[in-house]
Amino acid sequence: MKKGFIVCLLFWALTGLAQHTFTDSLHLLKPVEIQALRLNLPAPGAHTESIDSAMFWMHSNSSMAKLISDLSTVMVRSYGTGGLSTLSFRGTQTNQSGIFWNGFNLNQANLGMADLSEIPAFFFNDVNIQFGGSSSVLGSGIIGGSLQLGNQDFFSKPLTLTLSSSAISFHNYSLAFKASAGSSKWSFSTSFTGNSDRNDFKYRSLEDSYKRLSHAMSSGLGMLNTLSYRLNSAQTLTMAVWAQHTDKQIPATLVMNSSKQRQVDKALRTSLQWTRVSAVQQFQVRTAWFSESQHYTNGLISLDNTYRLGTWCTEGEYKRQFQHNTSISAGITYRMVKADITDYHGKRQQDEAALFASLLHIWKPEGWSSRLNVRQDLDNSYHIPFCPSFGTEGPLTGNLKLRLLISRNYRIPTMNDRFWLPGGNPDLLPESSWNEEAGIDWQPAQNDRLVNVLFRLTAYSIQMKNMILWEPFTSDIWSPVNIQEVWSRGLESSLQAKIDKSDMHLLLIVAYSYSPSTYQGSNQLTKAYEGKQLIYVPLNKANANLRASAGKYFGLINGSWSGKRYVQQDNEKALPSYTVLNLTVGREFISSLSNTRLQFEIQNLLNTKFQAVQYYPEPGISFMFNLTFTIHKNPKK
Amino acid sequence: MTMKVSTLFSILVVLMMVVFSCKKEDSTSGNTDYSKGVMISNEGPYLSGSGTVTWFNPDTKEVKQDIFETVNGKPLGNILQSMDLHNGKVYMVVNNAAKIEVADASTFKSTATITGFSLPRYFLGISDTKAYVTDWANVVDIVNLEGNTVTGTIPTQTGPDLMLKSGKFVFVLNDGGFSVDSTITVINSDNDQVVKTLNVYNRPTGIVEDAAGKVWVMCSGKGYNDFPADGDTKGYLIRLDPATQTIDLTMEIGDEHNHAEKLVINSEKNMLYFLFNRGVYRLNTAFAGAEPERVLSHDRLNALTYDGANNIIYTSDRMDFQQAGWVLRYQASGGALIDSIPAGIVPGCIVVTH
Repeated sequence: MKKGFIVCLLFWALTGLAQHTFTDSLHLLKPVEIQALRLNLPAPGAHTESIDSAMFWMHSNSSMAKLISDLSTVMVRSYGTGGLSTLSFRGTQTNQSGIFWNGFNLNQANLGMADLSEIPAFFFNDVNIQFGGSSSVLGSGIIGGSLQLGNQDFFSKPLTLTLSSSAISFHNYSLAFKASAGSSKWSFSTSFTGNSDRNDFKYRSLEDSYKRLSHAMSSGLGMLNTLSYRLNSAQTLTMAVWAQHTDKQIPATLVMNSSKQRQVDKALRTSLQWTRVSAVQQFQVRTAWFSESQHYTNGLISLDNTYRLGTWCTEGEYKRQFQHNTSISAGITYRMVKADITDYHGKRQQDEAALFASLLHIWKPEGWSSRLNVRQDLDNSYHIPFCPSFGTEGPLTGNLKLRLLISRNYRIPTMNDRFWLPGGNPDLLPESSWNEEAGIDWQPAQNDRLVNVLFRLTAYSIQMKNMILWEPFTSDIWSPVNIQEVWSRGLESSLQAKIDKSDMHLLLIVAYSYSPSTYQGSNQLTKAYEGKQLIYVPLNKANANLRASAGKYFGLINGSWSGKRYVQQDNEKALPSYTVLNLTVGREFISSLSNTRLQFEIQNLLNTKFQAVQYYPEPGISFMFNLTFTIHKNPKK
Repeated sequence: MTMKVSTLFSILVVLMMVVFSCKKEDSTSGNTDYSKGVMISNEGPYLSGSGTVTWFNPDTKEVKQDIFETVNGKPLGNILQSMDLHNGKVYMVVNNAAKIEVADASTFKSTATITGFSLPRYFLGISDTKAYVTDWANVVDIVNLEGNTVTGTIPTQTGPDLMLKSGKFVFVLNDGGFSVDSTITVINSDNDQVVKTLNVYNRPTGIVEDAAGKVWVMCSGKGYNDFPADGDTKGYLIRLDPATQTIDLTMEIGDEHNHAEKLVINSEKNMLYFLFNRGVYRLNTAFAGAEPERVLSHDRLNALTYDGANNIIYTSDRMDFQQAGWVLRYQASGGALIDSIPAGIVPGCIVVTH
């Protein structure tokens, strides 16, 4: 109650401050993104990655799981095609990273993760990845990294209609439609996606015979609308509504004979944002309400489970710039989750509130920039550590840039960790970590060279304490405990080479990561894990993308190689390394009013037999055809 | 320059295909008579893993892991619930894969895969040509061992589990499966008909026959050790007269929050052993009603088998269900630890042959 009062007081004070400071705001119009202010600030020192826009559009009919898996260096742990897909950054667990939509955390509070396979890539036009911890900016659970999905506005953009359809050889079909337009006052977009997947691909069974996957049908419908309105030259109101429905059968694994599992997920996510912008100040209030549910049934064991989550998040943030090289931002955030879950034996509520601030400074004329972030969570259930982070970057020489970042991070237990009956443990401590990283970016001066090269190398270390692990108390009862210490460290390297010559463009991105991630502290029961690599974290991973276009023709070769992955915590068993190669070719037909794109993709060109997760079959060579038709009202071409 | 770009493109494509198409293979083989020694069934990782079988030679101390996959080149399947020997063959009940893998006991070469189950639990050989398999579809499946097919079902109560054959009668413990039951289904194995359903106490989990022909049943009670909850019930050890199929003796074991499990008997069939209170306890059948005596102490015990020829207690430490567990051998007389045998994940069933 006392903390709640303090939160209200600070919020009121911040609002009052804004009212005063904006009376003299300058009448300058700046682009407004549907995003938290602190995410729009540069993040010096951090290793960030954005998806090349041309490659993105070649994957726009895929799920976000396939897009990230193919085009980024982040590891996606996928339980088969269409199955649960989650992110794993820098050797951390899947619930130690975050997926954000316009700055709102999509991780469900009961699981601490979100399923990327149920997020259509088509909805988004802005995808950014930040490696490393950023709890000081984004809050709980951002220890390994985060994925930011954004919707940009369409102010003063012409009416554009896009219709896209695709078919995959294992009877997966999808259709997507998007309309967007904007005037100086209004911005509007609406997108729909639908898919009907049979996923009846052939796979090689453990007996080495070919079988067709059964009980793997999936259908999905999605809708995302955004509407922005400029109240005046300084203020903008933005609303977004995202509805998603997925109904999928969960197929048997290779070590099961049959499955009667089915999962229906429903989500309605809405957000409202008010932003006031001047030349030197910005003020923002944003709120979001998510209503999500899952109904899981398993006919073989007569299991019927349902969960419903209601998540309300609201935040206020203020940013001010001083002398063109310093800016500060501060804000407050509150998140409330109401859960109605069969195994909680009653409704549960979780409240989280936090105060945060950032200071960004650009050291002129040297060109170095530094940012300090601080965050303190106010929580009745836990003592959450004060989380600072400091990052800096700048040129060492003309071509060489140095990046440094240190941060403290945390993850509060999930609601399942706390409330699951039997086994939930209300006395858990939050996980915490210190992350350090240093990197260099080498970019030779382009001048009139044909090839533009960027080489990046990052070394990192994450020391995690109080890692939560579910331990068995009996054969039937498992309970979470703060048992593990984990040390993740490693190297990330990438080389990007770009050639642009008249209407020919070539982009090569090659990346390699080395990720030792080992259990450290141990008790009598876990001494077998001491110094062992975490399961499903490959020590070595590489991927490469080569995009080429010449006139109206384009192509993409995408290859990924994953080293050996252990499947037992004692490292007694491992899955072998595997390589997957995909080839995409296509042609565009451009007229003054429209753009038609035909695309053909061969997935798993080498017909590799592999398991990303043990005993979950993956498709061999398969083919995808995509047709996308776009009409512009006022094409600029 | 256009030529140069396309040449560079071609070189890169070829390079990527070469780099990304390397493969490695390896193989292993062995030559052992697996019918002599100790077979241990390991359930395997719960969600998506495969069960395994560990083999141990008590004379040479030789241990071989995962012998089914080593011999047959394929994993057993998800959750190896139990294992039994019958007529020179090993019957491995793979619960979540809804099948029984059959292998030659000497070579461990796969001879058949029996399907047609829902959630099979335990195998009991009835004759050379017939076996019963308890199935959490609340039936006992009748299996023809010549054709390795399920030929019929016998209805039971909820969660049929362990079985015991006494004369022509088969006693099926209905422990409730995912809920709680308190009954025993008695089947006449001559005609596969249910003779009677006995009402006993909550969660019957162990059954043996003593030297006098009496049948002892461990009823564990409702609830879990270390997780007390409202509605938990006490456990009871009961004795049945198989001729009349009535309870002729009842004794309390533990309390509402401390539950005994499993039940085995020595070679003379006069000493009962069971898991209780983080250890193994024993009770002489002649002194029913006396306080059970602690034989040994160890946490996380899972399996329990009595080696009658050597008077050795075999039990297992299932560790944390995620790493390989251990089989522990103790002297039955004094409870001294003989040795520990590394096994697979969740060692659940131990079969000793000589």
